[in-house]
Amino acid sequence: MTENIMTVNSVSEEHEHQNHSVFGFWIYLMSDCIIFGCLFASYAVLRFQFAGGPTAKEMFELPGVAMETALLLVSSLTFGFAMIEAYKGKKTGTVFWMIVSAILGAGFLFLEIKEFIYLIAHGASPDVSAFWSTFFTLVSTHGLHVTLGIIWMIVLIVQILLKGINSKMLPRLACLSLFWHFLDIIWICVFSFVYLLSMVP
Amino acid sequence: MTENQAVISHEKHYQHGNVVSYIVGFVLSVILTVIAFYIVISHSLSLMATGIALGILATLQIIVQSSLFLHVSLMPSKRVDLISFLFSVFVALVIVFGTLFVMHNVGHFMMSR
Amino acid sequence: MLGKLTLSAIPYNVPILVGTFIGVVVIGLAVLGAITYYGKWGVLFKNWLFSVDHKRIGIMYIVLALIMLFRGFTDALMMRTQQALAYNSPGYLPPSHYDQIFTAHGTIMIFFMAMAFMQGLFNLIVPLQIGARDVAFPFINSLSFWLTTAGAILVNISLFIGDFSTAGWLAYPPVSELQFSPGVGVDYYIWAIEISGIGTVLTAVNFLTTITKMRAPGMTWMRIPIFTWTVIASCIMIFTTFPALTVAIGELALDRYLGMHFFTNEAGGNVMLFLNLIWAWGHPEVYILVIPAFGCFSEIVPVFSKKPLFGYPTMVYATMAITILSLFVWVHHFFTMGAGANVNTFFGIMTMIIAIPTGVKIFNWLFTMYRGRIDFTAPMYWTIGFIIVFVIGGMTGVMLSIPASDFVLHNSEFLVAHFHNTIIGGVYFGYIAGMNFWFSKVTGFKISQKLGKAAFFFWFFGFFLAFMPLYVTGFDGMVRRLNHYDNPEWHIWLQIACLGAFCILVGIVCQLAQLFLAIINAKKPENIDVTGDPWDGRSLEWSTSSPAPSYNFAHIPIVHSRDAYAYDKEHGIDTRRTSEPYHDIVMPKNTSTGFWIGIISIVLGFSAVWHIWWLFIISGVIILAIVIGYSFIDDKEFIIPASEVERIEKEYSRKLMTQVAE
Repeated sequence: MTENIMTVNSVSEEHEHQNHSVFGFWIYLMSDCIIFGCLFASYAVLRFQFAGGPTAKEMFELPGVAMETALLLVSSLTFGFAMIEAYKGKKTGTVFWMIVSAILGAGFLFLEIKEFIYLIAHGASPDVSAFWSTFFTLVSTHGLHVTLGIIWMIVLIVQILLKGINSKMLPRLACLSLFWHFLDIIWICVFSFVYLLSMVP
Repeated sequence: MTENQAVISHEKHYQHGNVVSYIVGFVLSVILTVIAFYIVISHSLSLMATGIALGILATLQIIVQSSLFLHVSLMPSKRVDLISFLFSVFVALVIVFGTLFVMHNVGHFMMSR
Repeated sequence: MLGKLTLSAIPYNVPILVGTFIGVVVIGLAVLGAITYYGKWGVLFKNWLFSVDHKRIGIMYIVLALIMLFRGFTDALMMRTQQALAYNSPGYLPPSHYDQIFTAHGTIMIFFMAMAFMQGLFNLIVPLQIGARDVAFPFINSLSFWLTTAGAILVNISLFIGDFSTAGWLAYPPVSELQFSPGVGVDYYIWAIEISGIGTVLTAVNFLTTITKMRAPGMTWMRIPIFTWTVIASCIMIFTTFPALTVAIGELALDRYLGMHFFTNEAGGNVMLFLNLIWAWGHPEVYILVIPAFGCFSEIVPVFSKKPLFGYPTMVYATMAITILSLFVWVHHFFTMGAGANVNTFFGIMTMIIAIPTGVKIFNWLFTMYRGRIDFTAPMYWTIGFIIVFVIGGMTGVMLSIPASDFVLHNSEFLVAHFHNTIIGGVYFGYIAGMNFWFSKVTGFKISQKLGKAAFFFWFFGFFLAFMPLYVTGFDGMVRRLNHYDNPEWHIWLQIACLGAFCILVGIVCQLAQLFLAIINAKKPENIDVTGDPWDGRSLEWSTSSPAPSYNFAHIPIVHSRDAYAYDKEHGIDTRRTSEPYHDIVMPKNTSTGFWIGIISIVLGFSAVWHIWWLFIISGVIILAIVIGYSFIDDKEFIIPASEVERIEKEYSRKLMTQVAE
């Protein structure tokens, strides 16, 4: 018992100063993960409901998807490099890799929007059939997350340039890195189960 | 506390990767992605087998990325993170497969499909 | 410019609504006038609306819940009188108005009364119980409150501008689709639920982090007080199942706003997908609400039986078992949709299984009372009433879980009786028991036990009068949500039910009187809670003064055992560690950010409801700008100097000494 109290005493004063935002953000991400789970569930139920309109196999183009996948994966890697620089306390390196990640993310968004415009122009718009409703909802929810991630990245770049990398900045960067890698993991499910699976005869 | 000290003290709190682990994760992800695309483009498997293969490849890639990028690990200090991660994945799977089970069944009996 | 909003949206030709509007305006002006007269505007904003103190946010949640209770209960009375009168006649409420009333009743009672009350109790009790100075994210806590309030305000705006949904509290498609509900009612519903839903998820994230990371040293998982355990369970269910609600309602919104086809009758939409998704949230939701109520009872019973809770570990395991099992029962809400025997059997059996851990809890409370020296205070009355009412509700629930009998009883008044039996008997009784129990802890003065007991009896007997008849009419084939009817057999039962509703009204009046008298008599010496521990409590919240100082604990208490404070009292340990020197305490600064985001969320929701897109975009951009701007502020904390802490603590010690001397 005394031993127990000794150990707890030493932590008690430090207790309140710890930053819990990374853990809290992690829980939030888990909730977000289930949002995507529900969207995938809707997609799985409605995936053959073309209602006589264009089908997925007719409309999807794998080269574009492969390009999007590559951009997102590389930006996940470059954000990892940004984090390594940040933990070393190196301002320029962090900002450089973050800008690279943001540009790659923007490239992903550009391709996605281009794909959407193509689909809508060729008669596969979200109000045509249940399939296209659920496809656009699922993929653009992911795209919206990427957009927010890029905005967040820009905000943090500005903050790093203004204030440097300090003990308040690191948890924020850690949260953003969780978010960014998480979006890549969601994309694995999107390209596997939405795009690739639809192309199988 | 100077800036460097702050940074060093934070190293203790957050586990993070190094260049090697990120590159290993990246290369593994690329390989798994290429295999997935190849299976589909080459039409080498039946529909059922492709579905299963894509499921396995995606699961592997999720494991690779969550351990090497998200740093989900078995370390005692990260146990709550791991439990919450596994529980959320479990709930997501319950919702996806539960929905499929129920909706497939009702579609079958109500002949709505 | 104003989208769909025109002058005809204002129902100036409906006398009931005009009367209500005048009433709201008069009361509103009176309140505003009183605040101005007493010069309390500054205090109101600085100390309350902008506060990030969990104790104040908790009180604001409960005030919101009580106002919403008033609104929701008024709806209930109107429905009961309508059904009592509408035998062979149209009654006094036209169907469209009646439909809005039952929709608003369900929506408000669940989302803005019960959820708000629950989050209020989380805020008031959890940090005190685990020995923390505040929650993990105080600003997000304030934001959660204002988002919940924004949702509540949106629902109530629909009274006077436009109309509310007529599609029932879960807005089932296809009736909630644009084709059948072309008005703005469903849109009000959608935006109110989505906005307050974000707030609820943030609350769950906040409290899970708080409980995981900020427990007092020595408080291992199996030493956490049961109420806090139930908060963990509830938060886990919130963060895992609210996404299903968000997605289901979001997809309905996309159908309505962008012409998509998730749940429409044509173009491959699937109505049952909505039911499936929304009940994947909906069933856990009833556990989200009732489990913290169980937590309240688990705190109350040991204190007033003067012995530790019987079977603490089984209580924890039962709570967690319910958390997991709650994910596997959703289909029992739509057994009749036509799924096969295998699906219905699976979910029927799971539903029966979930009754087992609930039964374990009932026995734990009974065995705690067994051979205890029970103090029959008001909280204890509510607890015993709960056990009686809830067991009946549980039994009828098991009846409904048998798919074959559900085919007879589905959507009948029997179902209405069943879920009121569990939600009033479980959730409401639990929260009110908790409110009576912790009242002095929160306010610093005591509440009348006599009026509390009177309120209990009116509620208890009123409940049986109001809802037992509905079981009968349900068996007689009466479906829910009937506007008028011509079956002579139902008439007498519905009149009895109406009588019961008025009996409950007396109960609510007693509760209001209880609150009112407590506030009026707050300064009387016999009403002041000097010690901070009026009931001989067992957990840490009773170890600090009533109300707790802004920092809760001058020294973070050290936990040696389960029932930490009871252990300290028994072993003569000074939980407050008064002999040790005091330190500066860092506390979060108040901020208006949450308040403004909430206000602009109302504008955002309102402009979306009326398709005022320029305003929608502007308010969205402003919210984003506020969030980004707030992240640039580094100076979010202030220091309470050690001398000030010492002064407050010495003062409390002095009061304790005089109390002992007397």
